[in-house]
Amino acid sequence: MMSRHPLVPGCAGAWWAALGLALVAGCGALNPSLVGTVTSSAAPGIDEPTGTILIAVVNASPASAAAEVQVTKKDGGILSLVIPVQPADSDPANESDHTTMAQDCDVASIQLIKVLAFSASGGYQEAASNYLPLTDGVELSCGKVVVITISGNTPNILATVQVF
Amino acid sequence: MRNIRLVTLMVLPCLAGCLNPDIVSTTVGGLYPVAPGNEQFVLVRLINQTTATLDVPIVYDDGSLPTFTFFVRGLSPGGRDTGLLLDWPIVRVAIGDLNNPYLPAVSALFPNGSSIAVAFGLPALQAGVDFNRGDTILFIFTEDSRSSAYIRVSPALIRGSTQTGPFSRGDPFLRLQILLESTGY
Repeated sequence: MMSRHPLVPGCAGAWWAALGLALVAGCGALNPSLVGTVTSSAAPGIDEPTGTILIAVVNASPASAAAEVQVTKKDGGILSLVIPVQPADSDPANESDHTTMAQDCDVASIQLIKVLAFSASGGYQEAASNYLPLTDGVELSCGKVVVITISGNTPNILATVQVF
Repeated sequence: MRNIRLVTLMVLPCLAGCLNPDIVSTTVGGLYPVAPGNEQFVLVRLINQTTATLDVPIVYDDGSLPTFTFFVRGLSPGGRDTGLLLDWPIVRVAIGDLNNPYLPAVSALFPNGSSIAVAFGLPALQAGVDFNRGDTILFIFTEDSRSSAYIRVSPALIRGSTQTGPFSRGDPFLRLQILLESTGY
C-alpha cells in the first residue's frame, strides 16, 4: 500500500519519528543553555535554579575576620555558612578581602549570626551582634544582594548588614 | 492540509523551546539570571542530593600562587545547595585537590553516624576548555552504589552566554559588580 504522504513515500512511520525528533529538539536536547555535562562524567538530571541571592562579606577592617550566616530554606532546611575574609587593602587586584556566596531563591530567611575578627596577637573579638533575620517577602527577595560590611579594628569591630 | 498540520507540529516545539526558561532569557529577557553572564565572575555551586551532610573543599587557581581553598562545611540534605562566587580570571577549579583528583577530600556524614571520604575523581576543570567567564559550574553530589565511595560528584555547567539579559526583575551579579567597583574592591 502506497503512503499518502508525497514527501516520504511508503514510510508513514518516518513522520512520527521526525515529529518525535522535533519535540526532543524543542525540549532542550539541542538547547545549549540546558544544564549539561562539561566532562565525560554523566550529570544526573537536576532542576535548574530559579534565580540567585548573593551574600557578600566585605572586609573594610585591617583584621582577618569571618562572618557566620544562617540560611533557612523555604522547606525548613538550614544551612550555616562561615564566610572568611582577609584584611582590607587598597588593591582591587587582591580579591581576598571580600567573599561572596550564592543561594538559590528557595530561601525563607538569611540571618547574620556573628562576626569574629582576629587580631595579630592571636586573639579574637566578636562584633556586637543582635541581627534580625532578613525575611523573604519583607527585606529579601530573589535577585537581592545582601552585603555584610566589617569595619573598625579590634577591639572595636562593627558589622553592618545591607540589602541591595 | 495534513502536511501543513504536520509541519506546524514539528516546527512549533522548536520555536517554543517547551517553555524552557533559558530560551526565554535569551530571546525576550527573563526574570533572574542563574549565571553571572556578562559580569566578571564565575559561580561555583554545590548541590547536595544525598542523605549525607557534606564538608566540601572548593579549590581554585587564579594563576598566582598559592592556590585557594574554600571550605563549605555542613552542607546538609536540608541545606541542599550553596555557591561561591569567584572573581574572574580563574584558571582551574576542582573539588579537593587541583592536581590529584583521587584525593578523598570530601567528607560525608550519614544520618546513621557513618562517614566516608569522597574523591572528585576527575581532572580540574580548566578555563577556556570546560568553562568561561560568566558561567555557573555545578558540582552535584549524588548517591551512587556503583561508586566506590557510594557518593559521586558530577560537574555540570550553565553557560553565561545564555544569561546575558535583560532581566525584568534585576540582576544580582550586575548589582554586586557595580557595588564592588564603586567601593574600590
